[in-house]
Amino acid sequence: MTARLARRYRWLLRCYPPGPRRAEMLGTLLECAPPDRARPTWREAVNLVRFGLRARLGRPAGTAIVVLAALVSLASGLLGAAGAARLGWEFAPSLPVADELKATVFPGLHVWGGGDAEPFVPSADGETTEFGYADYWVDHTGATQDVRAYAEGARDRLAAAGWDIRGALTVEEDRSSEPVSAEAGFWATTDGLVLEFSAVHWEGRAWYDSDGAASFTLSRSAPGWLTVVAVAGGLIGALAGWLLTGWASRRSEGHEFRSAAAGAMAWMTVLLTLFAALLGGLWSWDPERPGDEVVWLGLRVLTGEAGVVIAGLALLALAAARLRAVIPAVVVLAGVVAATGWNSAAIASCTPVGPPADPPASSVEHSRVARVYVAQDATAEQRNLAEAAIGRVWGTRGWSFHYDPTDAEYRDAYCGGGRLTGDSGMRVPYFWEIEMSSPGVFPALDAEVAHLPGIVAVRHAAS
Amino acid sequence: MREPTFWILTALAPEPRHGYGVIQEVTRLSDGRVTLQAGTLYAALDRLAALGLVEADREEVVDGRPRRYYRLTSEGASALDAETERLRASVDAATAQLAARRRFGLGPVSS
Repeated sequence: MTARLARRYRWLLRCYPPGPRRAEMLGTLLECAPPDRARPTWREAVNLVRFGLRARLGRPAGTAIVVLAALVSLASGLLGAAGAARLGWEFAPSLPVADELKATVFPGLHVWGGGDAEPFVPSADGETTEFGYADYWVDHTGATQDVRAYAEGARDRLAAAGWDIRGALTVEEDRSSEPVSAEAGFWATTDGLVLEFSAVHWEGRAWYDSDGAASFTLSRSAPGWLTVVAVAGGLIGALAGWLLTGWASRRSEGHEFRSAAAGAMAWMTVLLTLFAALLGGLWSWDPERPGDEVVWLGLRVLTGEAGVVIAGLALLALAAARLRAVIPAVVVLAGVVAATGWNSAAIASCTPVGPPADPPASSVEHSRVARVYVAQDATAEQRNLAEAAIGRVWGTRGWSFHYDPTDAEYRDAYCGGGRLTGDSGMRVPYFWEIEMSSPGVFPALDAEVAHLPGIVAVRHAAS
Repeated sequence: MREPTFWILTALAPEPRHGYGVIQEVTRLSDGRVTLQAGTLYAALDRLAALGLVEADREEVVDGRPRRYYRLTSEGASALDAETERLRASVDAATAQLAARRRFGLGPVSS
């Protein structure tokens, strides 16, 4: 009986840092236990975990270390959740092939776009990040040009199909501007998916310009299991943060300068982490969008560049506590940086003779970049019309024209990043590099532009 | 000073004791009102040691287990003395107030 009780106490005493205290406490606990006790009481267990974790921090008379450890745990918990979420998003379900949805929103019309998207994408202006989405749209017909009525119809059809309509339909009409514009939109959700409907109509535009479109974007909401994964990662991260703080605190105890330096670094790390997550989330947050996007955007920031700075600061804090313990970590880190950063030197040069071949579909599945190649001898008017056609496609966001074979864009377009040999670049077609809102926009671009005079090729580019 | 701290210093005042000894003595002195948990006791001992109020006295091995004894330092004795004075003053003040209540006939006071 006593042996089993001792084993259970010993297990609980692992909350305490290694050392003679564990054996001493085991003796006391066994002496206190009545003869018929087989397992620690709940009260004892909670008491041992609580004070054991406190003992891990050292500095028994201090309270500042407890505050710091709690904050470090909060920050490292966020980092753990961010890491787990990053990994989890890799397994997020693809956006569905939405034939039924297309027929519900745009019955009887030819729908462009669709496809899949990465979990997160930069916004149109590049300033923020948003959940990846697929763009769907129809070119205007007589019915869709009345954007308010068409949006109301689409909303009612979606509701009838079981979608939850979020918030009210918004309508904006601007009759004072040129061109006169009208816009109507709403949000709808269903299990795991978020839909934003938006119909825009511009009146009186030139024939070669777009008069708008009725469209919707389809994106994911975070799957339920991802929350579980993130919380689990957060708990592991929080515990690791607490233990690391304890480790550093016990090792720098009694060394005033090292304690102060490590403490200051730790505070900076914590503040930066909380600040980055909060600001990163709020910066990119679209309050109109239903769901918990802000949480995932905040966590996303922590696994980006901010995460590298945070890791560096944390390493400095640990180094201040005990320099030699950090040396292996620095060596590993340097190795990783060297392996990922400095292997881009040797991309082979090439000699293109025409536009590149179509890339394999798998390499462009998630790419939002396309190139339109135009013959060098195309007339200025042909080029203008081609450019207008690119702009007419609802899902094109921006484009740039390239005609200088020494440009980096030429190397990317023709040589996979390698150099173009000799004067081969002088003879190949010029091109537009086009950013699309979502990868599924490409077929519409191809259909709109490929047949125009002067156009040599339209290619979906590996991003 | 929190109650467990007060009782630990009190228990160690006359002689050094080991962990279980302190717990037993505190239970006895407080008429069973205070039962120290081992975690609470050792956290308090660590804190008091860091503040210089108690220190390790000696170590014995009983039944193959280490048993460390702790004793009160003179600073610890002074701290306990000061706390006792403070508590005595508080008790005196409360006693006087209750006596006044009884005198004015404002209601029953037990015993």
